[in-house]
Amino acid sequence: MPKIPKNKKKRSRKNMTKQERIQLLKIEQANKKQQMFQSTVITYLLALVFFILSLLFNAEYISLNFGESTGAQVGEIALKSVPVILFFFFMLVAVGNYQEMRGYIVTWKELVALLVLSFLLAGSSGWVFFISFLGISLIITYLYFLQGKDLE
Amino acid sequence: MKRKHLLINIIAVVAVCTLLINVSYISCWESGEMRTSNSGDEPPTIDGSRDNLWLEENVNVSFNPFSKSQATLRVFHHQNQLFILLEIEYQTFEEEEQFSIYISSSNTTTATFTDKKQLIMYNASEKGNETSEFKDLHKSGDDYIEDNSESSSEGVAAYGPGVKRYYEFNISRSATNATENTNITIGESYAFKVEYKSGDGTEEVSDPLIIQVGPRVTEQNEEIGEFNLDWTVFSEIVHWIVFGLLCVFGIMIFRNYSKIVSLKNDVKKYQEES
Repeated sequence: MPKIPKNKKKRSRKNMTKQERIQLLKIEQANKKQQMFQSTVITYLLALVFFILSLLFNAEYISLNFGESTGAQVGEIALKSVPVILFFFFMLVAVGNYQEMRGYIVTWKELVALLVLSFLLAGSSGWVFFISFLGISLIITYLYFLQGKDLE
Repeated sequence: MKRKHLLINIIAVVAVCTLLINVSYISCWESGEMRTSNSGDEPPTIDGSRDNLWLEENVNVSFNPFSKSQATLRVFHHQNQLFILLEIEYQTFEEEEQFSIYISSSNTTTATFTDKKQLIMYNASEKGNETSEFKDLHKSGDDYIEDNSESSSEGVAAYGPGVKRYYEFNISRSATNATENTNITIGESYAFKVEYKSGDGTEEVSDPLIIQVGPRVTEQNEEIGEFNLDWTVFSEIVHWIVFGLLCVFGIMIFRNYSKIVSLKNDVKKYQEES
């Protein structure tokens, strides 16, 4: 069933005039831009949520006093570092979408700026910084080696 | 031009954030609630959710100001505030009984205690209605005047021998304040003194206690200097700066909204035409 309209579409494209083709291209581009805008807004809002969590826990607006046990300490460090890692991830995606929407790509400048900001956010303690550093490194490695390879 | 605009936006946002951070510290010397102990044994809570802040390991200083050990003064610094807790065990309950905490900006034992702050707790009991009041004063010129910041008092649940009463103050650390004398600065040392006046006129004054307002001194960080950074405050400031940058980025995103809407309209138009 789906093959028939596809062929029809192909045929109709062939039969289109130059002006009609340009119009169709414009529609496709407009739809793509709309999707990118939506994606940018969603990822930006997610980054904002994790930023607020990071603000609450790292700037100690909410005190995390679970106790002295190792498990409690690990939980506290995780609660402080995970929001920073996810903030970096969603912010990178948001910036990437935004740049793509404008017809550019994410350059080293934006990446370095985001890295510096994320590391500063994780500066409340040594362990939080270390875990955030590991998490962010993993994300960059994933994006560079796996996502980057897919593009090639 | 665009870069210039962006730079101006960022500087403006950072300036606003800095201002907001400072404004939040302006309510310096805001005295917290005076709380009373229900059981008479456990120190009170700062609020319902932070009971464990008064644990011994958090307390910078805990000392008995008087030889009779009727009172204990506990002090610790947490986040942006200096918490002071005076624990008093009443053996008797005399009329016109008064406890005062004097705070001086001098960091020597020869402090005059007439330059900074005075917190007074006094018995304001009437027959059948035993209550205590407190005054929050700061030095202005030659006199102590009442602080404009809010202060509150709470009646004591039970009086009697062996019952402990707790007076708790939380004082905001301030970057700026309308009254210079009420400033308290991280890393600076202040002298504290506790004074007791009984109803019959007997007075007892503690030795001066020097407290450095800053992170708690532990075995690992015994040498806390004036320039040591409070990482929590650093993190807070960084977060607010990043928040400003996020706002700028948000504005940049939503400035494209009108373009997207016009694109949507264009698409509709094309679809209708075709």
